[in-house]
Amino acid sequence: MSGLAISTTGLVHIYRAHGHDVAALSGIGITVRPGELVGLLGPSGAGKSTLLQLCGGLLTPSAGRLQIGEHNVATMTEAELDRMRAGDVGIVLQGAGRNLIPYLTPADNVRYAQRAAPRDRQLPSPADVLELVGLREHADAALTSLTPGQIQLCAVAVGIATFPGLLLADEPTSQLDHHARDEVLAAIRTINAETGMTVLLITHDPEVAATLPRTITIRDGRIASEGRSGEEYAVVASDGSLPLPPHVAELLPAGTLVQVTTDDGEIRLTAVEQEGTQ
Amino acid sequence: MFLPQALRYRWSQALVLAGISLLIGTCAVFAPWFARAVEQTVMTETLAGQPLTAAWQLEARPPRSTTGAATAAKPEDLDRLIPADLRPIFTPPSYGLYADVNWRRPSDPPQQQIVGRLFWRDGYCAQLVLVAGRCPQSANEVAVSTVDQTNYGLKVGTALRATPQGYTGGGKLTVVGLYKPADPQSTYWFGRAPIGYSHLVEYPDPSTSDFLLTDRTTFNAVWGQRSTLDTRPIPSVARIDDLQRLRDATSTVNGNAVEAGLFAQNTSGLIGLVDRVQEERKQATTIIPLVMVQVALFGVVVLALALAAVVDQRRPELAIARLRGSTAGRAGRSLSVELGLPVAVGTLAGALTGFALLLIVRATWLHHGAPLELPWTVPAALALALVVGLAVVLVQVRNVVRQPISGLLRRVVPRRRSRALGLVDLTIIVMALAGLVAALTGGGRGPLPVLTPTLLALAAGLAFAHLLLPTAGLVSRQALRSGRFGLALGALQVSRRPAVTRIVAVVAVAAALVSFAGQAASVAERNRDSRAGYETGAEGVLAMNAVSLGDFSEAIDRVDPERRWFTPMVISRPPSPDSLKTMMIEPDSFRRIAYRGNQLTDEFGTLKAPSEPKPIEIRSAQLTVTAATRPMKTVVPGTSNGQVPPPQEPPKSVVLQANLVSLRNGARYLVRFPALPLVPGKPVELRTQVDCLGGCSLLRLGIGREPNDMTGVRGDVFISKVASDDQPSIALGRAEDWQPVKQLGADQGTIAATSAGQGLTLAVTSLGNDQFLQYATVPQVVPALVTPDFAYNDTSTSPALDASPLPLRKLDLNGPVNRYPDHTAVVDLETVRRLGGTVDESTTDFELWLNAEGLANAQNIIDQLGKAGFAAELADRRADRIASYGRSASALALQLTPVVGVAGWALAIVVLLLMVVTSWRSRAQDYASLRITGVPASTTGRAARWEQTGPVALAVLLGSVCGVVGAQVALPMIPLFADAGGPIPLELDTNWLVAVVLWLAGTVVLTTATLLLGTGVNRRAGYSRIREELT
Repeated sequence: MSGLAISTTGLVHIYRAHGHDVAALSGIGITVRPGELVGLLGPSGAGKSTLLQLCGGLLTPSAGRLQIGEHNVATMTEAELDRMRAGDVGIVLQGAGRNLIPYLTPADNVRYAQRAAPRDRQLPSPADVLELVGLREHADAALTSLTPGQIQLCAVAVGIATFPGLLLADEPTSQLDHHARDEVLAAIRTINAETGMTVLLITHDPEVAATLPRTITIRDGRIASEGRSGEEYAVVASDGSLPLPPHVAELLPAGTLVQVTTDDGEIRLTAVEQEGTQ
Repeated sequence: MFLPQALRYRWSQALVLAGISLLIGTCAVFAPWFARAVEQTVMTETLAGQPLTAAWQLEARPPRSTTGAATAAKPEDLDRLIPADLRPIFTPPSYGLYADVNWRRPSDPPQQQIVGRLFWRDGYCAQLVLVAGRCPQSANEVAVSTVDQTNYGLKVGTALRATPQGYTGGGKLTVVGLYKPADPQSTYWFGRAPIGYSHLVEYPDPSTSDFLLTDRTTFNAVWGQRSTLDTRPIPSVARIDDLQRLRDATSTVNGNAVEAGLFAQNTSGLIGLVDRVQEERKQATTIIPLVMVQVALFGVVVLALALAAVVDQRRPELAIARLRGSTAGRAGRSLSVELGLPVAVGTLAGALTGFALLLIVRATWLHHGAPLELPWTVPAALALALVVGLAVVLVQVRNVVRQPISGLLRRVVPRRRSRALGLVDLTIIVMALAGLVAALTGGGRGPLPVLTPTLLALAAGLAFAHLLLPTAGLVSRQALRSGRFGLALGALQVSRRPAVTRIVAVVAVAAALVSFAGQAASVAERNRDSRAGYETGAEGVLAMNAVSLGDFSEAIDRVDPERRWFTPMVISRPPSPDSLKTMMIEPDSFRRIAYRGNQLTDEFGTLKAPSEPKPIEIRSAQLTVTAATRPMKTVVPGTSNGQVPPPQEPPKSVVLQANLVSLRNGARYLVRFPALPLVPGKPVELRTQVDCLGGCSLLRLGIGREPNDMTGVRGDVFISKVASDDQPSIALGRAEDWQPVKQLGADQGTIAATSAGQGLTLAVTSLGNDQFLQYATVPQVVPALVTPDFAYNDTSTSPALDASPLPLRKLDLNGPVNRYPDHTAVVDLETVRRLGGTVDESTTDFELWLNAEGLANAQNIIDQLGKAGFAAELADRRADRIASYGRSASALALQLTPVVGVAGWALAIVVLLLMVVTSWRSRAQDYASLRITGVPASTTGRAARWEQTGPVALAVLLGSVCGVVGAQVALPMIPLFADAGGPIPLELDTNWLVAVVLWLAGTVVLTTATLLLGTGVNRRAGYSRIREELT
């Protein structure tokens, strides 16, 4: 299956906790092309995991539009979401153990993940899947005999067990040493390259982010910036708003009146002094 | 697909689920199986124990029963009266023919007749030991008993002339054999054994012989014989399902005989036996559910708790399944199969265990009294258990599977505030209380009342648990302020763990079950013992023959003068069963030896014969009275119609009389002195012969009249002196010691004693009847303890030794009268002895009631009494009655109660283990975190140990109390006996010893378990535990 595109417009998700509404995402608008490998960055609580879970159909958007390939996630029923996860979207949760049945071998875990796939779907063999992440020779080993890196690779293998169009991975490289981290990252790159699977992964690791062709930074539930091959860019939202990079935002405190002018292709922001302010 | 791996990985959980299910399955299967086996055993033992009562004894007589030559139907004709469908469960019919005859030897004079019975019974020869000759083989040959040989000089070859009683016919018989029955008690004879009748003439009975056994062909001639058919239900073949048909057939057989034109009658006590078995069945069907259903229900609750914990642990796996696209239904089905399999296997294994248990109890408790059969209730109960077990699985799985994936992914299940009374708990409390109220107000027997302890404990346990949480928080804060960190931590852990509510409720129910089971078993045993004691009267009872109270007293005084072994008892029965019988006791020895004899009354002192005045005793062949009359007036009695009576002759004399009681044999004599002429002032010496050389006591003095001198007279008779051979002057005591004997009927005259110098003045109004004054050694009205079922009034009497009426004065009775609890007046034996009288053998029984020591020496006592000429036999033993009650359905069913105890505690420990297994990781992490902050290991250890120990100890106490209270509610509704027991009350008081022992044992067992588990948790509270995770 080829990669699936992701498209969100004005995506909002609100948690309700102890009688209060908390907006985790406040109108996110992103577009990921099929086959793209995209990293989601941002501080804790920024909304990365929420966005990932929305893409996986684990949460339902409070508002806005979320399109995964042909699936309009916001309007799908529970059964349709189940079918989507069974074939089109693979998910790797943070913490490898949470993705695996502890008493099954890597091969059986892959088989377990393939159980709900549509019958008309041509499924890869567990050996092929494990081959892709470099675990073929450990296909029948007990999980407890694997290294942490191998267990994480196994979790990734389970996520791609049906060769879905989209792989969502929540911090797949956390709690790993550099060598294991690089192995996992390499495996994800291989998957992306060889299957054309769209990959959306969350990471806190700048070194990992730096190796990704595209990154999206989320802050306070909004798109803060995007990175392309090491360069960081601010992104104009569909409503025309532009989140300022942190070093600019420090110069322009909230409430500052800014005059926006264009000059020969350049856009100039000039803070206007107000009465009573400096 | 991955089921084997899943089961292998969590084999211990599967084992726990299978174990709990096994218990449920065992209870479910064993309860109906055991109930059925108990019912069948009771039936089998009842039929086997009373073969004669259970038998059908059909007897056909000739159509004309007084004269003529008619013959009865053939024995085989009586077969028709046995319904075809019942024949397989009856023994093959035993046919017989007999005719009552008078016989004599040809050499005997015609008037010498010996009563006997000419008797044939199918296959009787095999039941005889022939000491001479052979068995009869042709008509008119007979075999006679060896006793008849001795009594009547019969021998082989003797010819007899026999004629039937009331019929024409008869013939000459020839003795061809002399027999003894091999076993006269054998069921072959159906109570018609051919010996025990032979005796020479004993007025008024004529000479009687044992059966003259003959060949069937003898009855081809005319004898006016009767045909018999004996059969009985075969205990090992008759089934409980046959009971009603047996009863119906027994009740209709006589009517069927009439319809069939057979002049036949059936004699059988089978209907009574069937009714008794039916009553016992009710016991079994009430008590066994009491025991087993509670355990099974408790098992279901524990299974639900276990499954809740297990399913909670499966949340991550459910989340994975949902993440990989499985629907909630599919994920739930997979988990249900995984958990349902051990539940199903355990339940089915429980069926095998139940069967094995049945085989064990059948071989031990039931003495193989029940056949192996499969009542429909067993598969039904198994199916129900299976359905319930799987339903619990489905419900628990569904509760978790329905959570959204995001919820399943969370490490900690979002819960409501722990201190809030959850809807489920509230529902359980309300339902438990509703069930309790239904049990208390329903008034009926059945399983609901017996659930009282469980319901009570459940409601109280949950309510208590919810109070415990805030209380623990309070205790924690106070302990923290006072620096007791161990207690503070433990209490804090209690207050923040809602699982404690389950532990407390489960442990309370377990303790209540155990406590209630203990109470039920001990109270039932106590009641069986006490009822057996009251019904027997003492530890044992010797029945003996006696014709004289004096001889009886002399014999027993010789055997046991100090009454160390027995207390004597004489029972005088009235002709009518509605009247009072008299039970004569020795109060002092009765108090010591009879079962709870000292509790019979507080008025033993009043019951006893008066110690003053001393009896007036004489030893003489004659008695002399010197008496004189004062001026006497003629008295004309009024007539009932008011007319003036015709003139009468003036009175001429009065006759002094006396009642003497023989000290030798207890007989009471009336002696009359010569007539005392009515010549005022002139003393006359009157003498009469008495049979008192062996000693007599003067009981009464009185005035009678000559038969031809019955004119009414009123005046004083002054007795100045009474003398005998051994005493020149006998002191008659004070006038007030002589009280008139009550006369029955109206206007019988009066008599009273007044003092006058040294003699005794009798103020008499005589209308012709005898008037007596009774000496105060015997009260005019005898104090008596009268059983409350008799409507006592001032004129109530009971029969004395000679069946004469004994006027009674009722004393307060505290409890049931031993052995004779109905229509009984208990009086002092010494009082009756002083009153004297010739024993009426037909209505008087003599007994010796034995204590334990006496029972141990029973044979010695019997031997000594035998030497004294009294035949005594051990008629009753309390131990036998206890053993008999021990074989009742109630007792057999209650033998299950130890099972409840073990199962209750085992299930409680399982719950504790489960709670620890499912919470130890988080608890260990809590304590590890505390250690990092500097809390010493000893403090966390105390907290870990007491976190659950405290609530568990309180729950055991609470459950024990609920069990005791529930027992008080439920035990009156449990049928401990098949019958109400008459006036013998049920003793349902709490057995505090059992209650305390079980409480302490439960506390020790369960708190030890929690202490060990807490210690284990604390050991695992290492630093590594904090970052423990499958990477």
